[in-house]
Amino acid sequence: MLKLTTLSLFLFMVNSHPHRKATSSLPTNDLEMAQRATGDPDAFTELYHRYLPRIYRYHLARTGHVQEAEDLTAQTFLTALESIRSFRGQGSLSSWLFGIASHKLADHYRHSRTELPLEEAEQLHSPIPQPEEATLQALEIARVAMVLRLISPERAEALVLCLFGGLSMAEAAQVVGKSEAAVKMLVHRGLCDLQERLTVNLEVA
Amino acid sequence: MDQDRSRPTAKELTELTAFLSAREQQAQPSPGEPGFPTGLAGELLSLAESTEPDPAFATRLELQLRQAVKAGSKGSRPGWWRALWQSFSIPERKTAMKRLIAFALIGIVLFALIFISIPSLFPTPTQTQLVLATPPISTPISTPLSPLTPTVALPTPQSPVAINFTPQPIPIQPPTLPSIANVLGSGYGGGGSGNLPQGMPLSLATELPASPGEVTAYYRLENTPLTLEEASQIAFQWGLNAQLYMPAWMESIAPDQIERSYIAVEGMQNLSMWNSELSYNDLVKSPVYAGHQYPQTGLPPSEQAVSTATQYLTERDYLNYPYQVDLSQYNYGLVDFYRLQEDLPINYHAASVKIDPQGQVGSAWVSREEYQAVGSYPVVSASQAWDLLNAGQPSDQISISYYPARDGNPQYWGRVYPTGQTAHLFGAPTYFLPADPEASPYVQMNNLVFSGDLSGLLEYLQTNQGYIHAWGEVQEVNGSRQLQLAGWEPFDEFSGYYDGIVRRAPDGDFLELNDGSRLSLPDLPEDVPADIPLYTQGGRVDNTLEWFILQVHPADEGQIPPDLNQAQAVIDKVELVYLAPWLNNASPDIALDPAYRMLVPAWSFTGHITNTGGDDMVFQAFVQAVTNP
Repeated sequence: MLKLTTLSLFLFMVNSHPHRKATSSLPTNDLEMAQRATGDPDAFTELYHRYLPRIYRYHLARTGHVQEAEDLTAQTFLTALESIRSFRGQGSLSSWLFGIASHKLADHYRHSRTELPLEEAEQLHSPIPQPEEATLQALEIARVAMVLRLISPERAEALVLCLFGGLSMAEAAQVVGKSEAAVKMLVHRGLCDLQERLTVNLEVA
Repeated sequence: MDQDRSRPTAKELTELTAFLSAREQQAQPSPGEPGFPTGLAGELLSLAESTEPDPAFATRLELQLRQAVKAGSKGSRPGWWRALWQSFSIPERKTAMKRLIAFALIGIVLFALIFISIPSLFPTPTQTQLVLATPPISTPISTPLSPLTPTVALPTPQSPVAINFTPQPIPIQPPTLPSIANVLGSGYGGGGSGNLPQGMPLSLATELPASPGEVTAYYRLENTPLTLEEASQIAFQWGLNAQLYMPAWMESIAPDQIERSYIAVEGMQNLSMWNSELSYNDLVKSPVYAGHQYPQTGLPPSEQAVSTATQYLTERDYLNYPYQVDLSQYNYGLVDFYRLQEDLPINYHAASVKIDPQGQVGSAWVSREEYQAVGSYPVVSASQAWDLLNAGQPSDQISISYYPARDGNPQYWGRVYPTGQTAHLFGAPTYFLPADPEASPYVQMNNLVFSGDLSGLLEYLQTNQGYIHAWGEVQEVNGSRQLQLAGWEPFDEFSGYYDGIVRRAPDGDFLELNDGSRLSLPDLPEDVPADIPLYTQGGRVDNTLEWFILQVHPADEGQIPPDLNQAQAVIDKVELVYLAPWLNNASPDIALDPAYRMLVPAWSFTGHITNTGGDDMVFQAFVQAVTNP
């Protein structure tokens, strides 16, 4: 138990500073990294650590549920692992990975026949109790996720890819299959929409 | 979080753009540093930066991935999946995974039964189509046939994403089939196989059918690119004397790329043609309201609807095979057809026809997929399949899903603009390029075809895909409902959504917004109840809300997940079916694999789950019928 706690703490610290880790020994070439990751657990773990927080934030911001975000994150990486050989380096690894994440999320929405009431977004259950600060953050994201459901899906997607997924507009454009200019428009309008909705939401609350 | 203002300032948007541009150069500032966005964008970025996954979850997932990599590097796909399954089965993830698996695996069933018919139950951030590149020279296909996405009438196909793909020759011998887990997991959430909800008893309320011993192995033929000439022939065969158009993205699709699309338009009828499917819609009989679907009232008797639908498809030579009729979605006016191959149904729509309350065909969808026999597979008995299912143990040969028997679609009302009156439309226009360069593009919005001087609008639409506000007089010309365009302007979509309470008043109906202000609601349908909260889509013209869609809040009609602790499942239908692996989102290595192009025989167990709360859920399980070596 102590070992697990120590390891968790270590991973938490590592994950808290993805950019610092990224400067160590990660290959700069996405294709090279993907090729290494096909059969090398360490290489895929590098990729995993690099992208885990971003993929998780993306799913959390879209679902508002910690557990759903974890499940979707797991699905995203398992599918990435399954199909990493198909990555040809034509786009960035980020775009490729978020493309998978986006499909997983879309599938999740399509097939989730038992939509939870929005209030339950606040009942963020995780197997391990979270510190109060983390819970508050999750609640805040849950509220953002709730409001994101009220705006145009395209705008919500572009906004979350850029703000929570850490993608540039060019990378987000690859994911959503639109031009960079279109993504810029979607992000701007999505932000306006979100601000308006958050205001309304606050007033209602 | 900053919620004092209703919109970000231009400065904040500029800061955000600069920040995201700097990100591209790997030079993005951190929170608190100069250049980090202010306002809502900055707060959201800070919130994201400070959000981390649960360390325990991160550790578990890392271990799972490491195990999977090790298993995969040994070159054994079954071992690979076994490792994944084992990793899923760790106790603390079990409940989540069961729920995940159950709902993810709803895919095959729901896609066939519900989602195909109700394309926008839930928002879909992106819809990506697989583009198949040059077909193999050796593939002997006389007509373009393909297994791709089934969709209901979509007047504007989404732009596909090109993926390098080299189709394989048709196998001479039946290949070893992928497991059910692999089949249903493809594009539906990784692992794919499932287990019964914990503790739920299963019982049979029907007799198990006899096993045929073996079934024919069918290969799903691939398609060739749809040509303009062929599209014209298809439209003619459909009975349309139509002008042909194409979506704007077709300009960038090479003639030898597989995924191509044309749209035939005659009056208010349009037929979207893809290599693998056709989608027809009559905007008068079946107007499109952003994909909203809700049970219809006043439909003709189902026997009459079946007769009409059958005749409609048969006249067009699209029901020239044995089939079963499915009326489970007839409350939406849908008559669905399932194709039979040697008396076994393919668990995938072959055709679907939507009947309107007047008994007319409003829309239709047909698959153009064809199959070729390549041998046979021995199958296990229904009894063996039942034993495996009833054992309640995880297996990659089992897939289980369950979903509410009643759809939770929010009720909506769509606006019909009266002829002769001025209409204000808000939305994203459908814009098609003419196949004939000399002809004019096609613009349609809110079920009205634009006419008049469109030159300025067309120039705008060539480079913009956003919302517009258009206005003019509604006219009816030769059966075509048109908007004689008087003016238009770009429109910020965010200004087009309103929440409020609908109020009935002697001097006019109105929507009472949350701030207490009122917007009049013209043409409010009589059956909209007073004093209910509504979510509206449209635009504001002075103090009038020129609405297009009124929708009951989803939360008002949403469904609470049932408690399955005291539930039981009763199976009342057992049959041998063919499953069609979903290839649309599959990675190229799977899409290239002939095994995934085979129809997969499976025993289907269908029934209902009931619990002490009276909830009614549909239960669907597939058990692999072919025992692979």
